[in-house]
Amino acid sequence: MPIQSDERPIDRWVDGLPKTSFFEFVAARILVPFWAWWTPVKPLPGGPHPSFQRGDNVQCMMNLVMPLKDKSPVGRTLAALAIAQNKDAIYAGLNNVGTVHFARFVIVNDNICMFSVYDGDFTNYIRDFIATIGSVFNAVVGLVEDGEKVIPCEQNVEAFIQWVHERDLYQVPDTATDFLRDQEALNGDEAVSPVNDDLTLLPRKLILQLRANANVSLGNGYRAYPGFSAAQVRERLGLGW
Amino acid sequence: MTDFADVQGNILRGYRMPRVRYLILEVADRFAARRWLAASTNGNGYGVPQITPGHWGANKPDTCFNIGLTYEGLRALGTPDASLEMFPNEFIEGMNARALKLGDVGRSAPETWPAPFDEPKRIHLIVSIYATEISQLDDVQQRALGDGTAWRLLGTREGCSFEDDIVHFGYRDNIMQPRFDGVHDPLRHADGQPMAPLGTVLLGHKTNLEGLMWRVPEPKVLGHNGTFNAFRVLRQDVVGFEKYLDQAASYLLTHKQVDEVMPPGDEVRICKVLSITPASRHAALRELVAANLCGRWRDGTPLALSADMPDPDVDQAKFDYDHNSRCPYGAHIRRCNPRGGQIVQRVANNSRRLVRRGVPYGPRLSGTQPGDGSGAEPERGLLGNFIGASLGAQFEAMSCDWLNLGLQDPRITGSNDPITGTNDPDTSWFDLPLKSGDTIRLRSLPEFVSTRGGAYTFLPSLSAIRYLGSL
Amino acid sequence: MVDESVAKQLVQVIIDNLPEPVPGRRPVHTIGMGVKGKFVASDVARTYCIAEHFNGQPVEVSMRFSNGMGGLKQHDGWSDVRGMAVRFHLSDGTASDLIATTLGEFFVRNVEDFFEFSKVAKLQPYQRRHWLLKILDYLQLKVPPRNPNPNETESIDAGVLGYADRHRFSQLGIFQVGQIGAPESYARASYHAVHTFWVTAPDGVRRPVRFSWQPVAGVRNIDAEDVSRDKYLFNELEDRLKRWPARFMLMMTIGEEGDALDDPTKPWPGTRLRVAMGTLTLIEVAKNQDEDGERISFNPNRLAPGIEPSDDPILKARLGAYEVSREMRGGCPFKWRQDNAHTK
Repeated sequence: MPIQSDERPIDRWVDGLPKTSFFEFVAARILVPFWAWWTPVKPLPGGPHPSFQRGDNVQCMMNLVMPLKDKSPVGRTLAALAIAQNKDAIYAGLNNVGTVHFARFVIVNDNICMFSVYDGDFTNYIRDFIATIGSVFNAVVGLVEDGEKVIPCEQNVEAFIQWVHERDLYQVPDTATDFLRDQEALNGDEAVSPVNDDLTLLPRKLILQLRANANVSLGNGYRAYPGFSAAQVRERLGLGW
Repeated sequence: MTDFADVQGNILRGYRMPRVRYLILEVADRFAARRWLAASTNGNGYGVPQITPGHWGANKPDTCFNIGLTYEGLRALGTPDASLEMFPNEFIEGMNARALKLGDVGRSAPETWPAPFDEPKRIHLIVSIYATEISQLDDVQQRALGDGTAWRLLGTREGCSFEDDIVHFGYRDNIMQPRFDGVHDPLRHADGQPMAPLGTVLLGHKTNLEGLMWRVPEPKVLGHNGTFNAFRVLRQDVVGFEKYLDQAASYLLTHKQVDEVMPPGDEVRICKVLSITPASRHAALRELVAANLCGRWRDGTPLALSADMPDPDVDQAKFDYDHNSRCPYGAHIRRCNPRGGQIVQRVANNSRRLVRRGVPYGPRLSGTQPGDGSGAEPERGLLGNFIGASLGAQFEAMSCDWLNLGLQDPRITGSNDPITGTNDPDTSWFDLPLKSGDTIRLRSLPEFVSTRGGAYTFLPSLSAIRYLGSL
Repeated sequence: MVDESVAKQLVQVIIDNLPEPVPGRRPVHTIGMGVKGKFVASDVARTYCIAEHFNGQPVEVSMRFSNGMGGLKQHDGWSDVRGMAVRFHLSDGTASDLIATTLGEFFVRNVEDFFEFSKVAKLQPYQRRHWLLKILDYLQLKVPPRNPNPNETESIDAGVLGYADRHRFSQLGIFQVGQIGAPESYARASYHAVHTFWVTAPDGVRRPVRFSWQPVAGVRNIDAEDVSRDKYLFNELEDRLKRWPARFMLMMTIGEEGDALDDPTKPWPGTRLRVAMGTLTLIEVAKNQDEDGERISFNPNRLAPGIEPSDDPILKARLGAYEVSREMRGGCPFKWRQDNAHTK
C-alpha cells in the first residue's frame, strides 16, 4: 500500500497496534475489566425482541445454552442418552404442539444446547411442551447446572419457564444502532432527539455487553420464507396440519 | 370437597345483577387497610361491606361486594417478600407492561389510558359492587370508603346491563361460561364440552393440562382458592361497527357470489327472527356479516349450528366445531374458545378457558342507524373481567396467539380478531365461508374495540383476606 | 407536492456544500455511467402488482450507476455510497423509474431534518488524527476516526458525526455510510430503494412495499485499506459485460401494520414477507455516454400505473428537487404519464 505523504513511521505503527497480541493482552486483562467496573452494563434479556407485529411472531428463534453439571465425556454421554432415549416423546410433543418449525439439541463443549424456530409467544410454547414432554425436560434439566430447583417442571411451571428464558441467548439486533437502543431501553432511556450520544463509544459498549452476555445470537437470523407459521407451510404444501 | 363459601362470589357462579360499580383504590394507610380487610369478612352488617362468598346459603344478598388486589396493592399492604416472589411474572409486571402481548397498541396503548389507569403503581385494590339500583351502589360505596383512612379513591367505573343480556354491538351475551367439576350452576346449560376442572379457575386444584399445577403463593392460606382476573375497560365503537356492517353488506350485494352467501328469499326469515323492519336484502346481509364476525347471530344462535339464518329453537350452548360447521375459523367466539375444533396447538383445546363477567357501560345506541354526526358520541363499551387461575396460560395465551395472531388455524394466521383486534383498515381481512368451501374475503375492517384501562388483580379467598387483614 | 422554492433550496444547499462547483452536472452522484439491459418479471410478480413491467414480458431498461459523492474528482476506491437508477421502458413510451443506493436507510426523516443536517454537515478541514490521541482512543476502547484518503484535505465526517450524536433517528444511516466501503464492481453491490411504495394487485388489494436489488454474483467490496484506486469501476463493468451479462434479482419486501411506512430512516426487519419480483440482466455499457450516462434524468416519483408513492416526505421532496436539478444542469426531460399522477 503506498505511503501517504503525511504518514510517518509512528503513525503506521500506531495504526497497526490494535492487531498486536500485546494490545490484545492489555485489552483483555486491563482495559476491559477497568471499563466494566467504571461504566458497568447490565446483561440484556434473551429471546426475540417483543413485538406486536405478526411477521415478528412467527419463525422466532430460541437459542438455549445450558451448562452441564458433569463437565466430562461421561456427563456429555448422559446428556446425549437423555435425548436419544426420549426421541419418540420429543417427536410426539413437537408434532402436537404444532408451532415448531425446526428444533435440534446440540452438545457444544460442556453445554447442552437447544436451537429451535417456533411460532407465537415463548411462554405458551414452553408451557405446551411442559404439558406434553415434561418428563423429557425433567430428564435433561436434571443434568444441567442449577436445574434441580425447577424440576419436576410440571410442578414448577412458572419457575421453569423463567429458568428457560434466562438461558435463552440475547439476540444482538441486525444493526449496531438497534443494539444501542436495546442498551438504552434497559436503562429506561427512550429519547429520540435531541440527545447527547457519543457514537465513537459504540465499540466499547459492544465489548462490555458481550462480556455481560457471553453467549449471544448474532442478528435476527436468515429466513428463506419469512412470515409464515409452521401450520401455514404444512397446509400450503398439502401435508395436513 | 372444596368449600365454596371460602371462594369469592362471581367466580364460579354469576350474580345476574344489572348494575356494577368499580372503585379503584390506593392504600392510604397500611394498618387501616388491613383492619378494613379483616372487617370485610367478620360478618357484621354495618361498617365495611361484607365480601360476598361463592355460596350464600338460602338468601341471595341485595348487593354483592368483592375485591381484587394488584401486585402493588399486595406490596403496599406489607405482604412478605417471600410470598410476593411467588406470584406469577405477568401479575407482578402488571397489565400496563404486557401491552405488546395483549395487543394494547396504538389507540389502546397504556400511554393513552385515562386516569387512574395511567398510574398503575397506585392502583392497589379494585372493589366491585353489584346491585339493582344506583342508590344501592352509592350506599355500599359510602360504607366501603368509610372515613377515608384506609383507602384513597382514585376513580370509579360504572356499568349497567341492558335487558335480555344484549350488549353493545347488539349481540346477546352471557350464553356461555365454563361448567366446573363439582359446581352446580342451575343457570348453565349443557354445552357438550368436557367439564372444566376447578384448576381452570382456582389455584391449588388440578388444571386442564395433564399433570400441571400452577404455583400457589405461600403461605397456603394466601394463595389457595384464589384466582387471577384481567380487569379491562374496553371502549366499543358502536357507530363504527354499524357503519362497517353497512359497508360490508353493500360490498356483498354487488359480489358475484352473493346468492350463494344468501339465497334469495332468506332475508325475509332472517329479518323476521331478528325483528328488523322493513325486511331487505341489505339489512339481512348486515346481520349475516355480524353473525360471521362473531360466530353467533345477534340473537345468540351459534353459526356452528345454523349458518344460514338465526333459529330461536336451537340450543345456543350445545355445539362443537367439526368439518361441517360453517362458523368462520376466525370468528370471535371460535378464536376465544375453539372447543373441540381442530387447532394447531392440539394439546390446548379447552385449556385456555376463562370465566367472563362483563357489564356494558355507556348508553345504548338507539336503533341500528349510525349516529348523524351531530355531536360527539358518548363513550360506550364493556367493563370486562376475564378470570382464570393463570393469566399467562389462559388470558394472555388466548389474547396473543389466538386473538391477535390467529396461530391456531393456518387459514387465519396473520389476521387479527375481527371484533376485538387492533385492525388497520389498510391490511385487515376476514374470510367469510361459503357452502361450497369457497371464501369471500372482507377487507378494511377498522378497529372496533380499544382498551381504555385495566389491571391484573388477584382475587383472594375469604381466608386469604383474613390472613392479609392479620398481617 | 413540495413547494418549488423548497425544492430549489434543497438543491442549492447540496451545491453549496461541494468542494468546487460542477456546472452542467449533478451536484451529487456526479460521476456515473449509463448501462443498457433487460428486465423479466417472475411468475408471481403480476399477482402483486399490475404495473406493466411486472406482467412477465421482457422490458427494456436504461440504468445509471454512480458514485454518491458530488464533485468532478473521481475516487472510485474511497468509501462511498453507490447509486443504481433504473428506468423500465413501457410500451406506450412512458416509463417507471426505480432509484436505489447501496445505503439501505436514509439519515433524515423529512425536509426540515435535511436542512438542519446540511447546516451541520459542512466541509471542514480534515487531517490525520495525532498518534497520541489514537492511543488514547484505544485505551478507551474507541475506534479513532479514519485516516484521510490520499490528498483528501476536507471532509464532512466531523459535522455528520455531530449530527448523529444529537439525533438517534439518523444514527443508523450515518453508521452504515461509515462502513460502506467501495465495491469491486457496480454489479457486486446490493442497492435499496429505501422509500415505501404502494403496489396494487389485480384484485385491487394495495400493499406497502420496499424494493431492493440483490446482485446474483454476490456482494464484494475491495480491501478497506486500499483507497488508492481512483478510476476502475467503469472499465471493470465494461470488461465484465463483454465476457458475460451481470444480473440482479429484484426483491420486494411487504410491510405490515405497525411498520414505519413513511420514515426512510427505519429499515424493515428480515421477518417480513419477501417476494422475488424478477431478474434484471445488464447487457452492455451504453454507447452514447453523454446522453445515456450524463444527461439522462430519473425521478423516483415517475411510476407506472399500479405503483404509487407513499407519504414519505423525503420521497415527495425528491420529486421537485430532481426536476430542479435536471433543469439547472440541462439534463434531458422525460415524458410523464398522461394523467400526470404523482407529479402533484
